[in-house]
Amino acid sequence: MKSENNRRVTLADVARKAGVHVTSVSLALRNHPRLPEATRQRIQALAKAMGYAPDPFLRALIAYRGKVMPRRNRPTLAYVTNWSTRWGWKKAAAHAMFFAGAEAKANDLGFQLEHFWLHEPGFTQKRLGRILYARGINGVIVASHGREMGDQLQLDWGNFSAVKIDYFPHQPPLHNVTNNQCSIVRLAVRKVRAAGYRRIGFVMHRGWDFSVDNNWTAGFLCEQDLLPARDRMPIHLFPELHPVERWMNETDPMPQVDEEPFAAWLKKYRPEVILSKGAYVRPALERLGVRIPQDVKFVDLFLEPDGGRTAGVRQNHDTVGGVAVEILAAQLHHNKFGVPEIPTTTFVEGTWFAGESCPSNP
Amino acid sequence: MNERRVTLADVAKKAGVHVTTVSLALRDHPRLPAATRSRLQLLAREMGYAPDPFLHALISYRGRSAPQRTAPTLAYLTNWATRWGWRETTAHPDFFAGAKAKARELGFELDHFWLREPGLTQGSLSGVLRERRIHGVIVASHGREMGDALALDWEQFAAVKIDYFPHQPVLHNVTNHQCDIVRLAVQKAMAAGYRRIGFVMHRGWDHAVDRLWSAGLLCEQQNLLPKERIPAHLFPPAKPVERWFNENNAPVEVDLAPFERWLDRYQPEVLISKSSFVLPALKRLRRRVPRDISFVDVFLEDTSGATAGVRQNYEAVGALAVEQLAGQLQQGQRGVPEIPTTTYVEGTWFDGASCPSLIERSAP
Repeated sequence: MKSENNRRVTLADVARKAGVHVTSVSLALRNHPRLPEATRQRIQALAKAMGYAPDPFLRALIAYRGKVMPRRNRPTLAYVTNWSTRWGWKKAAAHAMFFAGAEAKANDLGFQLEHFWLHEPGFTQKRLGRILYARGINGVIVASHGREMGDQLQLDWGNFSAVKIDYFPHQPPLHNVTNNQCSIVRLAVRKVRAAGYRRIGFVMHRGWDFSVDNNWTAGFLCEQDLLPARDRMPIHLFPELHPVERWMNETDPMPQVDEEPFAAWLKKYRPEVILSKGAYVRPALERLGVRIPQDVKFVDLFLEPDGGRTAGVRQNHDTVGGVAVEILAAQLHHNKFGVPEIPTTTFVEGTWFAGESCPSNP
Repeated sequence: MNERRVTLADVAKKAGVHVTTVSLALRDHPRLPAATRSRLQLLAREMGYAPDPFLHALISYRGRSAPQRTAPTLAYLTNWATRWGWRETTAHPDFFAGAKAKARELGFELDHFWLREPGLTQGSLSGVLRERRIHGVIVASHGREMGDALALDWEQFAAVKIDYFPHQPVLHNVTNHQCDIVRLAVQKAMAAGYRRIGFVMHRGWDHAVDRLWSAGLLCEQQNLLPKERIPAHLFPPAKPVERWFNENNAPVEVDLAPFERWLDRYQPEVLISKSSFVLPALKRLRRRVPRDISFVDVFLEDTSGATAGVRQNYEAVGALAVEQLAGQLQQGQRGVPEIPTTTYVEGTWFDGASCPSLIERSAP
């Protein structure tokens, strides 16, 4: 955008008109929390009225000169977890890989990623905010919050850019990144239908489905809706609905189906193929003498690829972590702080692997 | 490794190439053969090279931008039956407006390209974009009947898709969160005391969003008793396919007779739909909103309080697509991603007179 005589409108022009120093204009246009909000808005409106538009590459240069020259260290991003123990989340495969992916991407982009545990002795949410601010950390990844840890995280969000991995805590509604559970189970149903199966059973932990906003259920029901009514069977969610505490506060990273209701479901609905997680159902199937793939086929929705023995979908957890850092880096680059007015969710697709546990139906 | 930071020059010396080559390789620039890029990337990693994220921005400024004083351009690529046909529809004009405003804010120009422009082919488009030094592409507003593949020379471009079409190649995409939007509407209706909740949707529109309207409804219906679950009324009927599949001829109103049968059979207390789909038909059937039936609009435009519903935030979708594209360009990502992502924008709920709370009404 040009001024009337075709010369590009500069920050200096805006500063002169506003009667402030050029640095204030720069801070205002980067929406920097150091300036009062009213000042930021006044200068932003003026710049807009004067037809000022940044050069995206020049903006990068300003960011470089203004922020980085004086300090040689890599800027730090915080990775804030809220599990019952400091490293408990590392035993859950997905969470360990979220972190690994985030750390690799942070290094890749020239940041360093530092882990903070919210239940560190002496820590409070308020204190964490102060520590991050004092250390000049303004990028935060919120990850691995146990379902039982409360559903709120109160930092002074105006000081931070933040991205959440997964759904917890729900408050505040930050931008979040997660695996596309809905799409992953739909992909699996489509693959087994293409392989000729009709009686498709789905077994899921009730608490895990709950913690992903029932997106497993949503995806399965949507695909099942395309099957003839006689081939549709209810999802086997375990454990049973009551008592709620049993599935809500699940901290075991490897829960298993209760054998009796699972056996009853198998007998009643006779699935040709089961979509689930290996650790949920394999031990029970073995005890019941049900063999894979002779008696029932199996598709693992949490596949750790094993060279073609097991069919299933690999969830790209490390990509989730990487994308979270990418989004955070872009927000920092554009100086977006605070809780977004319209939050977004970025879902990472899974990757299908064929395997002997679910051969094509002749 | 000693304390000194490993520089591009160190990597270049070790590899026996010019420092520019290393820089290109680390930005994964298509001008270098893929083998050279991966060899240099591997070497840099082994030597412990890590970019300074802000220096990275400086390099891209000096290397690419200094000689050109005009704003860099992004392409907004549509594939509708006519050049501007998508402007007459719901959502699509707002996608473009949001993208345009965000592009300007970030200092880009956004130019519209129509794939059916006389003389333009998918093959020649890549050349046109390259000649104009356009490296960033937003793919948007592809009619359902326009084919499901877009063959550009993708290695040359960073790209983001708005909505689901075309499905090939699988690019990163950004769209409204239909699944969550209908779930939000059902949750609000249930919280207001409704149990018999009817959902009316255009069959082609549900198909176009990968049936995520259906997915959201079915998921929330799990919280109702089986006898309270009303099947979605999708219109027009499944056959003939052309009637709902073709974007241009598709009717945007329910067929009266099957709609009336569905209403009589299932007796919904509240309809979740789009105003233009059902309100004219309700009027002809002499069913008054909200006296005879309550109504929730999941494509809410009038947020004055007359109508309850969810505003879809289309502008935010367009803006976000540009933000993601700018990020990709900044980080030197091009080509079809190995693991694609979908980013959904949430809707915003508005209370309204068309769907009064049954709980308040019955309260003393």
